[in-house]
Amino acid sequence: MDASDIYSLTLSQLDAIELSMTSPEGDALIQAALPSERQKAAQMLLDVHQARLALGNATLQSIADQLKANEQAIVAGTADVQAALTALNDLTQILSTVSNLIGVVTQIAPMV
Amino acid sequence: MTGCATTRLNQFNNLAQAGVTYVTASQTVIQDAGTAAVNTDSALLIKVRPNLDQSQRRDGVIKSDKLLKQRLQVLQLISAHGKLLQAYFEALASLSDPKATNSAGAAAQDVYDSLAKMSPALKNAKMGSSSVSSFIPTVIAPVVANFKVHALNEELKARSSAIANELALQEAAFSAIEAELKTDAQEQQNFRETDSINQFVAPTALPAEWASQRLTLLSTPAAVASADAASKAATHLRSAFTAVVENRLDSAGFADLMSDISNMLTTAQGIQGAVK
Repeated sequence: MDASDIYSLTLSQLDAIELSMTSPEGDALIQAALPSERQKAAQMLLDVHQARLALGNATLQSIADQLKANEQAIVAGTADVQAALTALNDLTQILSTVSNLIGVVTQIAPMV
Repeated sequence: MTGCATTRLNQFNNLAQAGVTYVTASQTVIQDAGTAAVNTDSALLIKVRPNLDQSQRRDGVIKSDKLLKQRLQVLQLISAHGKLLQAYFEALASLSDPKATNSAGAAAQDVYDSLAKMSPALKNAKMGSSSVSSFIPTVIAPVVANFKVHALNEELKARSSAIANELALQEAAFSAIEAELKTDAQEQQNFRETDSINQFVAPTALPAEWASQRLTLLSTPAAVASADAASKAATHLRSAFTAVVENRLDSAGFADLMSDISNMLTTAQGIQGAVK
């Protein structure tokens, strides 16, 4: 199990705890408790939620870093494909120029 | 040879079109995820506020603000990266478009026509029973198609591992984004359900719209449950890419992939309503 698996597992446990605490049943339990217990439960719910946010951010940041490392290849690929398109357009351009040139020659110097 | 080149061009074009559509739809999912994260946090803060003292409230909201800024920033990074991937697929789509006007063929035809004006012999030239003129586009078309296929194959050779890695990362990113989106959407659903129950339990009169709101509330979980459409589409796109590398992406595989991506967009739009 690598770090990302541990992150993912912990994150899904935090998800489950938060959903359980915010469910109608969880809410009923918290509301039925003494005020001091309710305060503790509210703080705990906030802590779990913020831990989930922090762990989720770390997981996403780790993937974003790997995507960033791949960016050079994507940009190079786009440039290469565009260069091939340009080469094709250049060929078209050359043929069009030749065609225009021949058209002019046809007008000014009838040959065969 | 022309048929082979056209088939290959179609494979590239299908993959490229799917890639562009996938990235476009994934931007909606990213947007949903950011909205859901902030709205769920706000709903939770409102929920716990009556049970916290002022110091706890201040610490809580400051910490949440900081974490949400980080969340929106990292989602923005993933979104910006998606736009680069979109540009790549768009370039592939332009180069592989088999239906695009064959301007090189048309230009070659123009050259021939101009020459034919100067040379009646060329104008009347025949190959078998057909005029040479009628051959020009059919001769140029496979040359252009082969040029495109060669360029695309070279691209695949140079970039296949980077693109496979990219699509695997997309899968991982959307798996993580959707897990969080799912939890956020479910949590907002929990809050609404609890509110509905509390309204019913309270000694005061029920709001007039209580029953209709309850119906909406109980019908929403279907959208939440299918929040994994983007990672599924990324998985499918990766399979399609492998199929193109192996020269075997057929129209059925492409139709399945487009259906997955369409489902991803529908789901993302459905979730927008659930996380507002």
